[in-house]
Amino acid sequence: MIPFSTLSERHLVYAYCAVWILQFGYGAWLAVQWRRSGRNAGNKKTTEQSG
Amino acid sequence: MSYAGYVLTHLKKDLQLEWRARELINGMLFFALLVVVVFSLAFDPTAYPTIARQISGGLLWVGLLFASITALNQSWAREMHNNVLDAQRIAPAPASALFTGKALANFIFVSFIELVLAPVFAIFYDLHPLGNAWLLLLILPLGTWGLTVNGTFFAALSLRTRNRELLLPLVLCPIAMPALLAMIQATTNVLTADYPPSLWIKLLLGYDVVFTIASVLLFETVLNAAD
Amino acid sequence: MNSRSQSQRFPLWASLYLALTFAVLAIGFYEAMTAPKEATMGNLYRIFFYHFPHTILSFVFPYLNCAAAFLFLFWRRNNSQRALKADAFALASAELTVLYASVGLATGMLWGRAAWGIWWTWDARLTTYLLLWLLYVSYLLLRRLTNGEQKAVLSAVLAIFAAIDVPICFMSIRWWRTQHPAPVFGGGADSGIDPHMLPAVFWNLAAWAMWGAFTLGLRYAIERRRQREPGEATAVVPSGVPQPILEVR
Repeated sequence: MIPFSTLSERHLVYAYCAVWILQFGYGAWLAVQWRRSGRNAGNKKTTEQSG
Repeated sequence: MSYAGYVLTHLKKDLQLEWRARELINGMLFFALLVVVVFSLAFDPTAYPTIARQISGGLLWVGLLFASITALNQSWAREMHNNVLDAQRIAPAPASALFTGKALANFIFVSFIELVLAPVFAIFYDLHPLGNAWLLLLILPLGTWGLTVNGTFFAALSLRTRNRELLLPLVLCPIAMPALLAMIQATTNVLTADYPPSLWIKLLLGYDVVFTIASVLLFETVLNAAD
Repeated sequence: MNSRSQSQRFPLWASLYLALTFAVLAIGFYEAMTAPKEATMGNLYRIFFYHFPHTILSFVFPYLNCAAAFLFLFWRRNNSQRALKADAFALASAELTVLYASVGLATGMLWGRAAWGIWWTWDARLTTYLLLWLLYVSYLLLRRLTNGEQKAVLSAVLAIFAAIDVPICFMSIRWWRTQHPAPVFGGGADSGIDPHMLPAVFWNLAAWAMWGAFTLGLRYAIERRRQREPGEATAVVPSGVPQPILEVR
């Protein structure tokens, strides 16, 4: 179903996957940071240097 | 004292301090010579004379870039001893005069290295410029000023960071890329006479003007960054 | 202060916007896959539908970063709350610049390898993206290697320098490649796009712009939360008392 036989087709798949991994991976990291920052703000833990 | 008076005072101070110690100049000279030798091993000029002429512009400027980074890292070190920099900040003299004086001093040091390095390079690479060699007298200072003004500024910026010597090349090189491209292309054009270097000289001039203005205007902000 | 930003929960309008963004992304993907096949490259050219929005947007975020840097420096003394917000926005837009430029480079290289057999060429566009990427990575590195009050000021200054540099890079590299032509990846930008492919282009541009706006806002909100942690707020806002520059060894 997903074309994978020629180099061109493979690169098309790699390219789309790369975009999704980079973008949604960053989005996932942000989601984790959001949840963690929510917990910190609630618990008033000692701060950690970030960013 | 006028602004120019302040700049000249700072310039004289840096030149005098360097003249007494002479560590920076000696270090840079030897480093630049070593760079030339390493490049000669990497790109054998005698085996490929045409290619040597085409790449020597680039090699010269890369060597100068590395040599000037070592100098720039040290340039503010003097001000750090005995809290001299804080005394400068308290003094009523404008901070940008300190910057301009130091940038000019660094420019003179790097130009001195160039005056020694360029002939050595020409000898080792057996170069005779096919184009108008007098243009080099314009290209070399313009290129050097482009590197020095940004380098002095970012060296001051790195003063407040954790990993000072590491940060300077990381921040300087991306910003200086267009200037590097211009100075390398201009020098190569003079050496190979493929194209007139006028476009690149104009770009260098524009770059120098823009970044000199930006550095002078923003220096005080950087100096007082934590206040 | 605004109670919305104090809340621990993800606001409803943001969730709806995210859902809409995913819908547009899906439509964009569908359009990209169903657009007519290209004459020379076959299906491979579909990378363009993802490559193009990212490269365009990677030139938008740096200017948001520059504007935020200017605003930070402007508000630094008079209005510290706004200055903090500007700093958070600057960080968020810089990270997005690096992200979008990375995607642009990766898709460009994968496309180039399959279409022209080389992973890289120093053509005008790729070189400009690479320099853009390098500039904003150096910005993020500066932030990482600086502590406390000066982080925001120093990075704002670097942001201004970087933003001035971007057009100069663009012009100088273009002149370089006019003088010494190199193979151009992706055909010319002026090579016309078949009108049947335009819907795919626009949907994907909209989709990634919406996603970019969402992640920008989220990153900004996270940074604002981090700024409000006890002990952090005063670290960014200047105390007004001159701090000595210490020799750090």
